[in-house]
Amino acid sequence: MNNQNYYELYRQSSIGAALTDALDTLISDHRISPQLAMKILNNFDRVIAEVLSKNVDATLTFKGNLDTYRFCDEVWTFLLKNVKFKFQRQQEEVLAEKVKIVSCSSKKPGEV
Amino acid sequence: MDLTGEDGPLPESLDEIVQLIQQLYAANQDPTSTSRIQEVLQQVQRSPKGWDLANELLRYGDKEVQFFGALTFTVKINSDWEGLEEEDQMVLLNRLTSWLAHLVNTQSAPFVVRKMCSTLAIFFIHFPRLWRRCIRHLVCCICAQPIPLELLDQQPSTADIIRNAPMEKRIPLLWFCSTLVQEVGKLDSKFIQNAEVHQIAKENTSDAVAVISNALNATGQDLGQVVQENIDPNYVCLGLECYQAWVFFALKSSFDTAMEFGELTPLTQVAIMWLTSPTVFETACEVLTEILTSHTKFLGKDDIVTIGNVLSSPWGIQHFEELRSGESDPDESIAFGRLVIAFAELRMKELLRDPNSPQSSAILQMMHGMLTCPGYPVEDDPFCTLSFEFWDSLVEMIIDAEYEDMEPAVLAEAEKHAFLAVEEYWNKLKIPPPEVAAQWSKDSCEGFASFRKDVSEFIESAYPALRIEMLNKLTRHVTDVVGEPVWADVEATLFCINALGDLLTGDPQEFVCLASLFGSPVFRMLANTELNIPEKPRMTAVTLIGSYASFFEQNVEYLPTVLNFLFTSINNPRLARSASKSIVGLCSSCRTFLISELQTFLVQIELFSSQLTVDTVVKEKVLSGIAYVIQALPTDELRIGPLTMILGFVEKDIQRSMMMLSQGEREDAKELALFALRCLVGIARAMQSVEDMTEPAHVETNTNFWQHGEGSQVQQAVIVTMQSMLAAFEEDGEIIDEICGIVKAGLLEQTPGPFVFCSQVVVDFVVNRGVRSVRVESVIGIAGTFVCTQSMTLQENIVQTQRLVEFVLAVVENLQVPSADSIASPAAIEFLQLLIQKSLYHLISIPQSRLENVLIFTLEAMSCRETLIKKSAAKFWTQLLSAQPQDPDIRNALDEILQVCGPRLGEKLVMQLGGGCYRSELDMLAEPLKKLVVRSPSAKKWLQDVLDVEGVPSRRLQPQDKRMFLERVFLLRGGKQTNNLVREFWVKARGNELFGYTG
Repeated sequence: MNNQNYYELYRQSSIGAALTDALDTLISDHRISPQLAMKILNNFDRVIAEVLSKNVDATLTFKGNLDTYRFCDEVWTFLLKNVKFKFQRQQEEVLAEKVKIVSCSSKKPGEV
Repeated sequence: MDLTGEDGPLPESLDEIVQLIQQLYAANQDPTSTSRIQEVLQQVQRSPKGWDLANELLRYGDKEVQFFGALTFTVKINSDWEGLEEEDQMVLLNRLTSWLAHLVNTQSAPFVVRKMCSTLAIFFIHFPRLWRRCIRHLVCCICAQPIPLELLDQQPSTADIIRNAPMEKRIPLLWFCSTLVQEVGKLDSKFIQNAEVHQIAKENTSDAVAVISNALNATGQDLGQVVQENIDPNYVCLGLECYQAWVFFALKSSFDTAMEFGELTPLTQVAIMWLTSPTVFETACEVLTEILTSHTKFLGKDDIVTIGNVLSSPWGIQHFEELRSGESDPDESIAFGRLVIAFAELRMKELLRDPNSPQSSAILQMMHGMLTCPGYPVEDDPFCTLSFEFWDSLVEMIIDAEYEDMEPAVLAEAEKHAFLAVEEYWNKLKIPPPEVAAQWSKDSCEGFASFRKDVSEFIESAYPALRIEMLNKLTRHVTDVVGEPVWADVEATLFCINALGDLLTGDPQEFVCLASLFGSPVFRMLANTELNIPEKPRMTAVTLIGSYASFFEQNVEYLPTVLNFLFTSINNPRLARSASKSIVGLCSSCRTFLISELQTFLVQIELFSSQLTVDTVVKEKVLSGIAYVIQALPTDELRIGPLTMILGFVEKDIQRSMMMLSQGEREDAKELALFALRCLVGIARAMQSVEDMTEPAHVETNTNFWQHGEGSQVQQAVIVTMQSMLAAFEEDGEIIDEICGIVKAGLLEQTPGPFVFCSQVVVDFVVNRGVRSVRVESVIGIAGTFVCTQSMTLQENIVQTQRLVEFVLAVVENLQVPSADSIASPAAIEFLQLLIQKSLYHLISIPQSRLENVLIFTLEAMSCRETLIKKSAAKFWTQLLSAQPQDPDIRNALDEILQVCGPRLGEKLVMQLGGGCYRSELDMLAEPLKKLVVRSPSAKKWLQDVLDVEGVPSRRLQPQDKRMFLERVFLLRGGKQTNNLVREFWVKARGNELFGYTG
């Protein structure tokens, strides 16, 4: 599977941002080239998707009012209001006024 | 050779290099010298002498040296290919093919021959036009004789040449064919130069098919038949793997262009035929499973029919029976099981549409058969863990049927099989008797636990599809029991129902099912702790009760039974933690219904506390649980008694702790004190009111009861406890943290209560800590919570806030610079930010010289290396720039601050956004910039003054870049697009060629 087929959305996550900062520092210190940094980020895109789907088994449930939804270019977007999150191993609930869920297809191109 | 020097001379002689290679591959080399040797050898490989060196090394008899020779060719091709003239390329090709033929003829080690095949594949990638018919050329060179490329057409057919060659010459051809497409497949065919490599590789398909056909012993005009006699299983397996590599390549290439699979297609039937060969069976299974799972497009209708026919044939059925009985090799059985699952998943709808056909019936029986093999999962039965994905897909299909046109008959059939699977999994997850489990290894125990977790997830996924009927069927395993229950069955049922805790829809029928479960004689037996029942079902029952708080809220008649069961369970060490967790959950959600049970609970906790050893976690939770019920009592007067009683349990621990301390047992004393304080935190949180209040409470008249009235003794006792702990464990961070927890719980309370202290007590606690105290950040956090939660209309609160401001100013002055403490600095700045939000007046009122210091502190924080400090400063300035006070005096004072600090703030922002900060900090630093551009008319000048300085913020930025940035920032007027602009500016300042790699 070619790296270009993986989503880059996890680069915005805390772990993705921390990795990018670390790569920037390594480039500034002339310890790696930008090409290598790019490859590492591509690997990250692939691995984070795999790890999240295979190794993470924590679950949460949430309830809220669906305000808006749309499906465009294979991406679903849901805007929810007054959302209550309930975690697997935690008593307390977390409340959020607004939540935006962006969901992309987990199937790889060409997969049926 | 001595390699100790960092930049010593490179080895000159061949012997020296050979010696280094042998050292490199020798066992027990230390990592430092291996890495140094590798470095030296890599330099030698890349040197101009590399080509000759590769040749020389391949002449050696030593296999490691030969391998290094082939590797050197690969390195040289990859690094110097662009400098090779066409003539040189031809010479190189002839040399490489000759070497491969030589290595094959002299029967060199397989890994050397494979490396040479890989070198040739790399050659092809760089020079595809020169070596268009690479496979045929190699077949001729290895199996016949080296010939020029232009004479290839004059040779016999590729298939004929291979047929006449000995086995040792045919195997390397398969290696090359596989490596070729694996290497080419790594290239992205979207680029023009790569597309050409893909295209030329595809032109070799017919020769590859000839090589593979020979290995698979395919015969007949269309190669669709196979002879399985007198075969070398290794050769056939390699042929199957090579076939798989070409299928994958063909599909990968077909993403971009229309691809004909014609030449490869007949081989699929041959590969399927090999399933029935005992020696090749496992590889054939794996290859076909991979194609069925990931390369489905490649398969034609006939291929799928043939696979189905083979699997459902007497051979397939017999093989499956051997798998179930454990007679066959476990690896082969698993491979076969996976193949059946892959086929069933692909053909799911078709199987369900015609369930009575021999094929569907056989395959569906196999799917259920895999869930009913004898033995316990993982330990004895590896098959029931394989098919979760299939059953998940089946229930997903049922759920999707609501939105798709699915024939009712197919849906009904799907539901029938899903129900059966739930029943089969239920049967499989039963816990073994203790004497059986005692024989298991740690891995088996963990595997079994993980299997049970997977089943609970499957049950969760199945519920939206099978709904109430599934819950009904499950509960009947408990409610229909007549006579002595089978406790393993009961446990399995409770375990499954526990998985549904969060999924119930509120359907009244669900409550009917649960009512029959919790009211059943079996459940009453479980709750009767005097009966001798295995522990595990009780443990699962305890967890189950906690998962169904919403049911008990609406069916309060069951509460006393279950809670008494839970309270009794806390005396059993193995049940205690789960029971206490369920107690907290139920007491919190059903507090008002439990008031009548309060006395019983108090008796239970008394009994529990009187034990010699008490699990502190359990006690803490149970006390919190009881506190929830106390909170639900209708009046403060009624609360005093039971609250005093549970606080008494805490007080006893405090006294024991003090005694231990006086005897010099400081560590144990501290541990006990921490536990007691944690109990207080739990009680304080549980005592918080559940009603929402729109206005902050803390009106003096209402607080009288707890602060000055009847309840004041309770509150006073808590205050004394906190003070005595602070005094006894002076400057202990953990103790301070717990006390902060108690104070915070009171501050967050909406109505007066035993933990809602008067302002002075809270502020005294903060200011008495001192600016250098440990956990000063936690103490400042309390100051922040005070500012956020207290009404600033009360004179007393205004005065106390002033004291807190003084305290934080003293902390800041003590720190001098933000970098002095990466935890206290952000805490202090966050307090100041909250002050802007809640009482800007207090900030403005700070005497000018001290205010200047504070503002400089926050400005300096903008350029700190620590992200947390920078983040707090960015938030502070965003807040200050957004503030729009109504009071003209405060507004004027704020404008004055901005006029003074604006130029410095502009400078900090430009320096940070111009490459100074981390990339991840850009969004948070863009916020004050967005506010600044709309806040002050002078903002443009402040930013421009900084940008006008040559080389600032970066030498990479040209004057026009800076001008553009400034103009666009103001055009965007603080809009969202500013973030993108800031990102572009940062990349440009750092160098697009270096930092533009994220795209």
